[in-house]
Amino acid sequence: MPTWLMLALLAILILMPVALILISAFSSSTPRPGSIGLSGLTLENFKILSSHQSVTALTNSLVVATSASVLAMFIGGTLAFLAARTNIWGKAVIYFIGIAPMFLPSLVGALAWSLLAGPATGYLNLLTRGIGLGNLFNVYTMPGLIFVLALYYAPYAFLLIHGAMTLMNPDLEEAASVHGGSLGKILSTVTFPLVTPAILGSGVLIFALTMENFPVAQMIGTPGQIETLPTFIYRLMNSAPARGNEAAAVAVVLTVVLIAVTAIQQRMVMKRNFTTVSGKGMKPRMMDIGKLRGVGLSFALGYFALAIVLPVVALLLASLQSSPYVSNLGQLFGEDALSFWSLFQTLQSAAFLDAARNSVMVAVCVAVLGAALAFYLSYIVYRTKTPGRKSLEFVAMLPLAIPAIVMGLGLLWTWLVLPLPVYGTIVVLIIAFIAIYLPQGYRGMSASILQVDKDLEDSAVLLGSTRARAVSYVTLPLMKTGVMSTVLLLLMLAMRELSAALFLFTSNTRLLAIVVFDNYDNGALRSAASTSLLYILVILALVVLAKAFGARATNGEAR
Amino acid sequence: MKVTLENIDLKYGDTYAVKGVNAEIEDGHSLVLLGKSGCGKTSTMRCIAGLETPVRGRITIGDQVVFDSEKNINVPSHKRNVGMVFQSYAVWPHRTIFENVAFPLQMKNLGKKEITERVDEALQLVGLDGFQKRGASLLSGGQMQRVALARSLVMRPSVLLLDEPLSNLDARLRDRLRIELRALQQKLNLTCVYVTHDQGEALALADRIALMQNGKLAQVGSPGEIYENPASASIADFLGVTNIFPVLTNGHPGTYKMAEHRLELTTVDDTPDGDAIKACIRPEDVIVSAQRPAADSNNWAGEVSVASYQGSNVRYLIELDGGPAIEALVSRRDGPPAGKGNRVWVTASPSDIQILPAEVA
Ligand SMILES: Nc1ncnc2c1ncn2[C@@H]1O[C@H](COP(=O)(O)OP(=O)(O)OP(=O)(O)O)[C@@H](O)[C@H]1O
Ligand SMILES: [Mg+2]
Repeated sequence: MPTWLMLALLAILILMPVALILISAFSSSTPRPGSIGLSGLTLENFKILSSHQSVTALTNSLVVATSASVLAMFIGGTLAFLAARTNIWGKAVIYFIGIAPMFLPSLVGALAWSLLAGPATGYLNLLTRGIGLGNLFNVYTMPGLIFVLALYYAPYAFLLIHGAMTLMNPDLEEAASVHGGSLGKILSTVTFPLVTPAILGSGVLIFALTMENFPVAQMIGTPGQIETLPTFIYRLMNSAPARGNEAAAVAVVLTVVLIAVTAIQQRMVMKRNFTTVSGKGMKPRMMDIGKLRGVGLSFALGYFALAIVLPVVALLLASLQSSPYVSNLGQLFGEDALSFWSLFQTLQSAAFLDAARNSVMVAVCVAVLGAALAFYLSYIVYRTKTPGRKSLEFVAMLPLAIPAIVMGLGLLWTWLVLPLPVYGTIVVLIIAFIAIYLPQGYRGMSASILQVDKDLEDSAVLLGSTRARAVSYVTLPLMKTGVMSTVLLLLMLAMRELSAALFLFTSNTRLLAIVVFDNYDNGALRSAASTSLLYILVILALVVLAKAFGARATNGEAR
Repeated sequence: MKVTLENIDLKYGDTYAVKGVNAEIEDGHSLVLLGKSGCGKTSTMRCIAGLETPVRGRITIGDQVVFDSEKNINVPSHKRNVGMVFQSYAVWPHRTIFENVAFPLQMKNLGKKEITERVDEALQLVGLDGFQKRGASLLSGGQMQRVALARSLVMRPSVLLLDEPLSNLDARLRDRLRIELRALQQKLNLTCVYVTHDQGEALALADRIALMQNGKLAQVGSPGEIYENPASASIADFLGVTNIFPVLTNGHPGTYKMAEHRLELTTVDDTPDGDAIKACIRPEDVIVSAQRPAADSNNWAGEVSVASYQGSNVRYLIELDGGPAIEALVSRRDGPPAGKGNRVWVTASPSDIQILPAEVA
């Protein structure tokens, strides 16, 4: 495929949605079949930005994202330090605790926490009421929103910081120790300065991710009347009539903030490459933290309880309880109080089965096609001298800075305008997910293509094979782990995605995430909970399957 | 087969990695590209292999023009029948040795029986018989180099390119393989291009040496010619001439004065053109004695500042009175070595001092 064809493909996948958002922000009509809404250019839409609502939404977004990323960094960083650099017991367990919440979509986490800590009926409140303390918890608040986001974004901090800490050359610390540094001095003068770029980089990344997060903000924030930019965009689009142009204007603002933040993050990641990563599989030193081991272990187990155990228990209770309303915990222990009826009901319902089939189909297609596209792109950029390859890379990385909900809006308009019978089918979801996760796929592929010495492939060509044959005989087999890990990463991301699908699904193409979200929205909590549980099981099954094919989950850095 | 490079220019971005390179390699001869790191040796080789596309020039292998910028000819690598042993060997770690070596024959769609025979023959040639089934990731550096060599030899290449094939090996293995490589090349009558930055390797392996500097060929000649008559002081420096002093002409033909000192020296060389001229003296041509020698020119007194014992030789660094430090390599047979601080006399025959331009024009 010549490069211009690739460029055209990326233009439709990525540039056109972005352009349509921009156009709509400056227009009085939104794109529809036969018109992209270029008529009636105006600045009217931006008036909404000075409204009280948008100022509040922007402020909320900034406060929530800042606090959630600080908290997530604290959790993830502590776990990473414990797992990577100390003599704590059960490192493998700590590592597992560090990444496990990634397998729980933040949507499901938010649902579980609203079941646990909803103001009147949350299980935790039933518990405290039962022992006479009254209602202690209310997750539908700013701190609640920050807490839930931090819980489910801490694994990203964990992965990045853990990576930097294990790759650190132990000689650097040993040199400090030889020259007379104490443990505390070594930590403060060598270790932490070396991982600072990684820590800052992951902080910025999590800031961006929490800023654009829609599901948690919608499920926890909206009941508490806390609006963020993504939920504001959603509300504008869902009002009747839809206020698409104003939504586009807000989207432009959100995107600008994220582009700025992402640019900072990319620079920090670049810097990190020069400073810490010099390891050649050397084992870093483990520090003796003495009595703090107990504290560390409790911390890790506490996090595990909050992020996984309590939520799963809550989901189980909610899907097993036979009466939809429970006013005290004792009710749950009565005869016939719990039954598998609802779970079985869900398992057999057409809604669940269709959604599961759609989700798996979309995720598998996205993983396979997305990985293939990402491989081809990385190959062009890193293995050829094609002119314009740097601009290909730029476009491929662009969705990183664009919130999924905004990208979803742009893709909606793109496929309304394009004269292809794609809108309303499952294909449009596949296209959308490939587009928004292209940066992750591209990054995974290019990292692993760079690990395979180019000489290995060139020698096959000199020995008489064609380039394509050399790639399939030498390069791809050597990239196997990297390729499979990228496939797994894309599979996971596509399984979890909600925001980008919000504007694109139809009643025939609902995904598991959509079903959970809809059920919650309609107050069908029991059905939301049982669908969530089965949703988690489907994800786990896919992960196990992909791992059997040789993928490595730990390569899965999501952004 | 005979290989010709004409006016090759290669650019990476805006900078020239190779500029105006002309070279001719006779059938069955070996040309060694010698030069400092980054001077463009690998790049030149990759042009012959077709892995880089020059912006200008023509490359001919045998009777076939494989590249011509004017006629828009660019034969792809896999049709050039060029063998190449990479600096990194590029032995495929996920295949066995047999699979590695059989690959070029499979690409030619030969029959199973013929492939097995030719692979066995090639492995025998490089001394790896019996290793066929081994995985390639378990090999030592020397063995990898042999596999890479066998893989290129088995295809009976028109020309074999070797990019610093010995640089990753330890010194003794390097010495042995150097001789083996030369013997193999002569036995098979292979046309070879060999890249190295080690002058000893170059002298041992070459029929002709091409000295590269900054992407250009600075001097081409037989090992003897290059060693005896380097074209510039910087080439002499590269070939291990450690005593290089800037000099000025002194009015009389054959006599010079050191640019930064008041010492004089006499040679039999003609003065080259240009302002920047340098006197070059090999350390082994410097004669050290305890008494003032009889010769009436190039006699300098000095003091030994470093004496380093090197087995059969002693290497001295001598501070000349009112002059620079000069290095001398003295055979042990020439008497008991002088120690640090000893006063000595230093001399060099006028015919052993070369006056050269700093750089080739
Ligand atoms: N792919 C590339 N892109 C840009 N510049 C390159 C590339 N490959 C080489 N260069 C540059 O071209 C010049 C010549 O490089 P080349 O690899 O030919 O040197 P060399 O003589 O083989 O050096 P060495 O002895 O270190 O292998 C160097 O300045 C190098 O930095
Ligand atoms: Mg080189």
